[in-house]
Amino acid sequence: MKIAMVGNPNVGKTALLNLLTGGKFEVGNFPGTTVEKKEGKTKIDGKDVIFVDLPGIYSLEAYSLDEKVAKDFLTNENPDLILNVVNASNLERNLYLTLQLVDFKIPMILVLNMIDEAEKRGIKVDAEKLSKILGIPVVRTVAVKGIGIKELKREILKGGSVPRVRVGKDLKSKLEMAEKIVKEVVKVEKKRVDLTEVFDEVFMDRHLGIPIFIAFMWMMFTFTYTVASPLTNLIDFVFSTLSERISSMNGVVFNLIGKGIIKGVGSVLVFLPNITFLFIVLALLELSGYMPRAVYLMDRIMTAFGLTGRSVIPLIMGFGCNVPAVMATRTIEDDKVRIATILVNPFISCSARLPIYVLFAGIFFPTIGSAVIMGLYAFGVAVALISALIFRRVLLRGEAEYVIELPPYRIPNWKNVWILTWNRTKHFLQKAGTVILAMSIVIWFLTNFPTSSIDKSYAGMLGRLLQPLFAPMGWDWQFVLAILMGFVAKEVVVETLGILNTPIAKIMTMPQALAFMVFSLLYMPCLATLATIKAETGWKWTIFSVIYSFVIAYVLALTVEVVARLI
Amino acid sequence: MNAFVLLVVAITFLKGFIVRRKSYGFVASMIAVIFAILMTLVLLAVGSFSYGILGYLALPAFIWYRKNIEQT
Ligand SMILES: Nc1nc2c(ncn2[C@@H]2O[C@H](COP(=O)(O)OP(=O)(O)O)[C@@H](O)[C@H]2O)c(=O)[nH]1
Ligand SMILES: [Mg+2]
Repeated sequence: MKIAMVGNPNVGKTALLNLLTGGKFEVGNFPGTTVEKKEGKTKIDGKDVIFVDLPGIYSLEAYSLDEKVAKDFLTNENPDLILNVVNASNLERNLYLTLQLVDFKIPMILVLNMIDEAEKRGIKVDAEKLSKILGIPVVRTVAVKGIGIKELKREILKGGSVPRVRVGKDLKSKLEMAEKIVKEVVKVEKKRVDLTEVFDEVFMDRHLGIPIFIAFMWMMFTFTYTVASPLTNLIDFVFSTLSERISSMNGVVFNLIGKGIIKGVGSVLVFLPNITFLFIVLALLELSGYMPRAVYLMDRIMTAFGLTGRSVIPLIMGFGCNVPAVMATRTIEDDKVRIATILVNPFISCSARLPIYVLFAGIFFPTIGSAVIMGLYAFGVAVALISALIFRRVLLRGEAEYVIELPPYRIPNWKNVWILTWNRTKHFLQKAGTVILAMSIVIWFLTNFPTSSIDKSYAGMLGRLLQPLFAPMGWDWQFVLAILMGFVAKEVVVETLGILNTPIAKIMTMPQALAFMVFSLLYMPCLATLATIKAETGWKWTIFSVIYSFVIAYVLALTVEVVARLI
Repeated sequence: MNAFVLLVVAITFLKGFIVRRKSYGFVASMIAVIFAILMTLVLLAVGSFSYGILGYLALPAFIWYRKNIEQT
């Protein structure tokens, strides 16, 4: 049996899917987290069931990519049943989609989710009456607490029923119908003060909103940099001891393992605590519902730069990793805005670049590390916004608007924080076990052949060959080599310096270090991001992205170097 | 930047008094407590002290606001 889960964004589809299948998909508390369809298989009473979690949509008019994904699925893949998940406290807009689903003549079950939140707000929905009007089973659930799941499974086994409601095909009559139904089945009692309104009054205050946001960002970087540092030191100690022990044994194999693999992979894994801590805070911000408020605060700024509120979610996701962020742009309807959002995304500093900052900030700015790192992130955002403005003015003109929907605040549930953090951390660990491991062997080989005196090795030759290109910044060839290798994945920058045993503090000045951090921030999307950009936009924009980011990085790094030297 | 956070907390409290809305005090005391927790972690991690730790003083205020916020 194939079951499609359809509903507005952020109504709890993924949470429900996790409950039904015991899966670990990511739930988010902002619209637009699921842009592809995801599948979960399970057995209910011995019967095989496949659930397909479609992206959240408001309608099936198929203007944007996610609406198209959903519509295509329903028309071409003939699901046996539609689970239409709706938010009980916002029934009218949800029903608008329900009434469009009616046209597919596929058996349906209406899942009335978030009953708890509706009740808190004094909203009562008469499920039986609703079921009679629509002619389909209606199940009341609270996905986060598992309430109503048994009953839902029972109804799923019964197979739902084809809706019998009569409604015109045009959207206007669907809108009117939704309004009429809501009048009949929803009762609103006098509500108590809603905490969401309390928070919003302050978080979205005209004067205080942005300062509070900055304060939160500061706390985030303090947590990722300072609080994580003892753990970082501990891992560093373990790896360097291990590396020394092993490489002190005789033989080329021990040298490869000790000075190549362990040294290389270790120099990246050292930053695991920083990265995990960053992911924890990001998950908290996302799940609490604060993130869309930040978006809202930024919306005016975004529009000024030719982006829309919708661009913000991909941009924020970019702080984790640019690959899913680029994919998240699928929710953007306007193609030009979408391409502009994709092209500027790599300037948002992803977590893979964090190790570079932590390493250099630790050496050159030991006391104000978090401030420097926060500054780099802000710098990346500024470059992204200004680039967006340029693209939209010159290359990708057009109009766009978007209204963001603000979900209620929720106390993040530890399980979801953990799933989100772990999925992202796991990705980092997988990279360490694959790309970074492979690169450690490559770099070790380059540094030990044809001779093991670094200056005369391939690494030395390659670095020296390219160094003139970066002569204006005054970087030693080892840094140039690191940049070259880092194209594969940005963590490799740190890895290369680790294997080369670069005495950073001795051969680099503070301005050069700043310039180097800026350059690594901007210089080129990593291989995985490039592949995603290619898949989403084609070769033309991919090549453009490479050239554009390199030029920008070069110019800005040089500027930073010169300015920092003068002051 | 730590001072900046404390300043934001102080101004938020202040605005709450001026416009007579409990929501500001509620959020300000919450931020103060979160910040105090963070600064405790910093103290444990690297041994550097910040006055942010005094944010715990806002804990009773936070609890009071949480109880009374619903009857504004
Ligand atoms: N209070 C409450 N929160 C819920 C319920 N179901 C889901 N959520 C929360 O709503 C948010 C969005 O859920 P998600 O499954 O990602 O929605 P999707 O976008 O439809 O897939 C998450 O923060 C969930 O924890 C519910 O029944 N009650
Ligand atoms: Mg989802």
